[in-house]
Amino acid sequence: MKKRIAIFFFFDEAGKVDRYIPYFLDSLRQVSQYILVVCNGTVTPEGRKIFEEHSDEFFCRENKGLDTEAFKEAILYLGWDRLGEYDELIMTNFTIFGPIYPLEEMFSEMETRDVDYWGLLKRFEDPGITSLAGRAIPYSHIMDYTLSNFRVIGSDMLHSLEFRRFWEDLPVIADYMDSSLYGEIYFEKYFSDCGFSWDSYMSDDTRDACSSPNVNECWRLIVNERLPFIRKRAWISPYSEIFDFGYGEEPRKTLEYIDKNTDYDVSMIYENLIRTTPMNILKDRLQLNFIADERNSFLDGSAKRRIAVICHLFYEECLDEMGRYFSGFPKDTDFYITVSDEQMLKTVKEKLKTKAEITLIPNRERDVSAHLIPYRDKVLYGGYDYICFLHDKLSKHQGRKSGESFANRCFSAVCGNRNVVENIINIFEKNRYIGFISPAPPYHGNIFYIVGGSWTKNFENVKKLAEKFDVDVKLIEKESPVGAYGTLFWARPEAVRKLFAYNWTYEDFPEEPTGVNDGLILHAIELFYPVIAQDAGYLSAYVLNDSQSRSEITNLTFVSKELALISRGYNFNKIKNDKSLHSKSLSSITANNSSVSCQLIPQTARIYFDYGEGYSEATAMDGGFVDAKESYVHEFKLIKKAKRIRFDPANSTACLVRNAYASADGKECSMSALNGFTINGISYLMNMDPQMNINVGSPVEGVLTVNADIVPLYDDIFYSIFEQYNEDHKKLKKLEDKLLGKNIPETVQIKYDPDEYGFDNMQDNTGKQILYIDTGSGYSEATARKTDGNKIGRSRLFEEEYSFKKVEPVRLRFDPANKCGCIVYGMEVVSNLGKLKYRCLNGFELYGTYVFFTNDSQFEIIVPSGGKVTRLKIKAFIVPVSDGLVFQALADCRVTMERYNRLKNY
Amino acid sequence: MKRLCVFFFYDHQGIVDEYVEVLLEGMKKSVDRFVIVCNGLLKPEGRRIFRKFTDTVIVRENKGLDVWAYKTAIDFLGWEEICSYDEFIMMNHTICGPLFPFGDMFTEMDGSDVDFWGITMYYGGGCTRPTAWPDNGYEYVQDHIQSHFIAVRSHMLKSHEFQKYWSNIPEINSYSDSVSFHESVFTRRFSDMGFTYRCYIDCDDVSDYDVYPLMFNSHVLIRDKKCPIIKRKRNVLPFVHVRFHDSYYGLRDMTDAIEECTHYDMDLVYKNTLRTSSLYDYQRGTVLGFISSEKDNVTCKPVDKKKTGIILNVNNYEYFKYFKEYLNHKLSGFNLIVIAGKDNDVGQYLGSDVNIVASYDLENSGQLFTVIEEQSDNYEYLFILSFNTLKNHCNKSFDYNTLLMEFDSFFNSINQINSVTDILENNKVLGLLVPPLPVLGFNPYDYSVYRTQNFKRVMQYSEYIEVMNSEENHYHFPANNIFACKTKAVKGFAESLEKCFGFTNGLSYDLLLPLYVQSKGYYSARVMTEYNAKMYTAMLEELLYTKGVLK
Repeated sequence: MKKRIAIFFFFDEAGKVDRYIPYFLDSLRQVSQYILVVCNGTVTPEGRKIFEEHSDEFFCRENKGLDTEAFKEAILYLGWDRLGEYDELIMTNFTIFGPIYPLEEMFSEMETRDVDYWGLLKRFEDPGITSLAGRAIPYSHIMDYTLSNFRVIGSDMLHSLEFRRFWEDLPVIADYMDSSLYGEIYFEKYFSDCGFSWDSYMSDDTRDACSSPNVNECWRLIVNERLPFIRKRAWISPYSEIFDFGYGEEPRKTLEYIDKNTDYDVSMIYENLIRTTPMNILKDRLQLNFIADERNSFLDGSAKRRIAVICHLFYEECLDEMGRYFSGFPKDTDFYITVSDEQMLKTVKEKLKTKAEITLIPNRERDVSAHLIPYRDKVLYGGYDYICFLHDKLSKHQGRKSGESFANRCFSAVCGNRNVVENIINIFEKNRYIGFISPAPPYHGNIFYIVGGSWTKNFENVKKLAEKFDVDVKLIEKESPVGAYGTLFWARPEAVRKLFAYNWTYEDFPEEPTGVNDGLILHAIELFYPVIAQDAGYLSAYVLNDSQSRSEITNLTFVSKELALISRGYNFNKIKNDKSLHSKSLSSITANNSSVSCQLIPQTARIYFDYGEGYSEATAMDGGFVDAKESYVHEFKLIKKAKRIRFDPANSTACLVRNAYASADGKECSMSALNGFTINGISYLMNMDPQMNINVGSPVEGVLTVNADIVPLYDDIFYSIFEQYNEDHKKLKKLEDKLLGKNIPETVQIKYDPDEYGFDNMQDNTGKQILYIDTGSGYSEATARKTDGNKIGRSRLFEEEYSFKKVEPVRLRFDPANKCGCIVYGMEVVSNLGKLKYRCLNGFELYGTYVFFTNDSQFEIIVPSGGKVTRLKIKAFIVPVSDGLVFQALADCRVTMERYNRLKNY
Repeated sequence: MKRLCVFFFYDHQGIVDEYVEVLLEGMKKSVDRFVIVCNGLLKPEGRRIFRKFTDTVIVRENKGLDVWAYKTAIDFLGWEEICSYDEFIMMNHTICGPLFPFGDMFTEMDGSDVDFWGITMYYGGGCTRPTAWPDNGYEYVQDHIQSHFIAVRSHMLKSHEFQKYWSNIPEINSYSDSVSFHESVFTRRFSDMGFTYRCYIDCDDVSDYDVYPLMFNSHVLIRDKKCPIIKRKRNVLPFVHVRFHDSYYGLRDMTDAIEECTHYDMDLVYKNTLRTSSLYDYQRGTVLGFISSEKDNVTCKPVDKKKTGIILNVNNYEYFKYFKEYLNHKLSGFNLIVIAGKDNDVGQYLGSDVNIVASYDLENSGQLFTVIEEQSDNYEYLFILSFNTLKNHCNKSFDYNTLLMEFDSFFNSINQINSVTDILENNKVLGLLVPPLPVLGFNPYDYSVYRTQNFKRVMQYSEYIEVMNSEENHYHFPANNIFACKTKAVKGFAESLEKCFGFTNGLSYDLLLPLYVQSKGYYSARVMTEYNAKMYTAMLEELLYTKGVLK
């Protein structure tokens, strides 16, 4: 055997060394006589011990320069004399799992190839990529090269002066891109230019299959090509990266394949992934969605398991239904019931047929604390294998169908019948890394906004809980949480042990009714269960039963189809008019969230260059966030002469742009709307992928500066207004042409003076909606009815009922917004006397909407004479407007509309 | 365990005080080889002391502070030699001990499986890095083992990381550099690399309220944790530390704890700090001052009248006459030495039982010190009662009261005389007792003006006798030449003045005397009666308020 020396590079944010590392090193030992481990950043004492036991030498260095500089330091540390004693140098790192096949297999194959160095994996040539995130590369585009995660340097090259020079002259590696640029791309170029040949163990079969086959084709690589290692990226990259090229099953299938067909212990992979990766990514990458069959049980009935159900019963009406669910559990299941009043205790004792332990608890908060407190010891010390946590659910309010659907969906998935229960147990049995199973988050009707899981108002509280419980789990706000939506779920006791080990008291929870349906500790705990399970080393999964899966596929397909319509660039407003996108729930997706005061999607600009091969994502650059409150200025560095440049002022919503210009090479370039229209200096880009052309004339290079006022628009009412405006404007132009030379009357002057309205002070939310009541002595603040400032959500829908028992209004005034200007549409005022008329006091009408340029917007509701208003319901869509640019656009709309109307009749 | 200890030493005069010897002596049994690195100067006597412990004494230029001293030792020894030891200790002269045998510490730590260890910890306490520190890559101050004692075990010694640390050590030009680049990051850096550590004295409980337990809660460490060391400069802390960190009782509690729980002699520390600090820092930091109870029921050993001489220095005969009654009974049995003008018959005013052993004709203002010189061999203690015209002379009533206050500090009663002698006898390093500074009169700040006027001469003298001095050095001095002293502390004063200035007459003796006493290795302190203390407190507070210091 050749005499080999290996350098293994390691990095972990927390410095922890998981089991896959020593396994890796021990396997490396079979092909390498000497192993040096280099660690960037930190390593725990336990980790250090592992390295000292499984390698010949180990050292830690500061976290700088990634693997490339670590290799450099290791090589210089070993010294050329020592390296001279070896035939081959192996350079590898921690970002790959394996080997799943004996390494000799690969090494003996590679010995037959007559090359100077070889790699495990390679990246294929890509003509579309001409730079590395804006950094120049030594070729016109990306060529084939080996990845730095496993590379073997042969004797000739190892002992060459060129190899020595490469490392000694290596520039400073500032970031990941530098590392890839110098450690991989330049590496290939430098040594190829020096006449060294190379190859990779990965074949060319996957060339052109997709982007990054070395990640996305992982299954094929290990099955067809018997590659001994898999990149960790196969499991931790965002789901979009794999969805973009296929069905997404490879990461899951790869793990299954390794488990079944090789000696490699996949738990080593699980362990590391669970510790280091956000659960949402793992859930998607491993496709942890299970279907529990309702008609057949696949559970091996012979094995003994201890099952418990912990359930809070509150509604007498639900008792029969809950009894039915209870009967679905295996015979030996232990039931632990809580009730919160004497009456219910009596009823349950009388009526519930299931044998159960029943505890009376304070009538305070009803499900989260009932799960955590009274039967704490049963969870911690009961010796159960799996525990199902339940509580009854009853919707009584108007439109209860939605709530009922939610409840039904949860119960059928978690404990629909005996087969479902047994199949859930079977999921646990077959997947020892799953510790927590709950129904998938609902998304129908008015809760559409939590589709795929959402932190809503709870991220900060979950973070606080994580600190309190000293949980070592990465929490990232932009990754959706996996959660126990509805608080009905299954868990292994050891997965939730930490949460139960804490001595909760009822006082830790707010008293019911809380009056708030989100943002409290109980809501945070719903989302925290999977976090605590992850900390204990477990995955969380979602479950549905098989008949639900029919609904689920239908619903998800429906949603996607509708979204596809939007993304294909159809005018959103047209779709609405066509009634093809008529789901109210769905209309909220364009704007994302439930509260107007926060969480509108921040928009980012992006710039595309045509360097002669057309626009490409590879050479595009991020242009940073767009802020409606400030002028946009951004500098871009061109990597070479660009023929054409396109600027996208927003990434996922429409926008208005004014005063847009760019300068490059000292020359100023105008900008024009590519997929919108421009009137009066304002570009209206009314689609989801707004684009502007930068009119460069002759090719430019150097630094390009883009300046513009950009206001993203999140509300679809703008589409209908501005589309109409465009039509009117065209018609007006025609009319004006026709009337050219004739005496045309003055247009109306629009009352629009920013100073008067103090637009600077306007905010992005409407503030309170106020109904002023005049009982004969004028309006007064004292009797005014004010709604909660958060009344208006992202749906922009305001709905409020008022009743007048002691007062008799003679006049009513409704102020839809008091912190900004607004557009109001679809307003209806219904009273005990029927529909009431209203009129706009200080705004104007525009295409069926009311527009207010003031933060003291007012409607007068006309009280019919002689009638007595005792009840009143106001419903309206209220869209806040706070940007001068939008006001100017709306003012322009009005001028055009008025002028057109006048001229039309002239 | 085979141990190698690099001991870093620095002294501005190159003098090796006894506390260093005691410290090294304490380590000797546990250490196989010492390497002593000294920055700057080392006197031959010092080298002789160090030679008792090792052949390897390296004196290098005063650059790079402790860090580069260790680096020098490491380069000198080479890694092969260093790695032949099980433990490599980097220790410096800023600690004193052992209060408890170092052997106990080494035995306990031998049983601890760690890669490096120290005695005490400094806690970051969530503080951001002070602006004075250069950027060391950490936003916050890290918890760290204090660099006055760090032991590194074989496993870490042999590591590439530790050796690389020393080959890449940055330039160190100041104390801040040293703390920022070395002391405060050493622990974090190596523990991040997976090396385990521990502190012999576990202060995690104290750290809840004190980031620097060794300095500010030393008594807890000594009493509860048997901490073998204290910080050398504990009694001469800069005022800012006293003001913001120290419990008012820190030093007292520490000295009490040392006295009750250990056999360590604090005078070793005092001797060093007296020499290496300015007298003012020393007096303030050590909270020097003695209050003698006026009450007769507190009895002291009667003064040995043979060992004690009293000098009556009568410049102003009128003053003397006023005080004749006051003095009368108290002087009986003492040996009196009288300096007075030719025409002034002091004897006639004194009782018949006084024993005037020597009389001098008053010649000049410096004569007092030539007399002291002459008489110093005959006595152990001298009380000097000068009847000089006051510097803050105001009117007779005021003058008499001022003098009374000063005399009272020594002569309030026979018991007071006993008490003062007792204080002198019991405080080995105490050389001079001065009365409270008279702060009233026309201008209560006379004395600072007086200092300023004479400052040049004071500095000249300080340099000559090699004591630390500066403009901020507001030490106690006997403003009206009324004081008590040990004769061995003042002997040679007149000669040194002569040598320094070439003359003795007309000098500001009162300002120079405490410095001379300091150079002889003695400190000076105030003494006052209980009533004086009350009065003094009342007057000082008044002045603090009216001068706007307190509001």
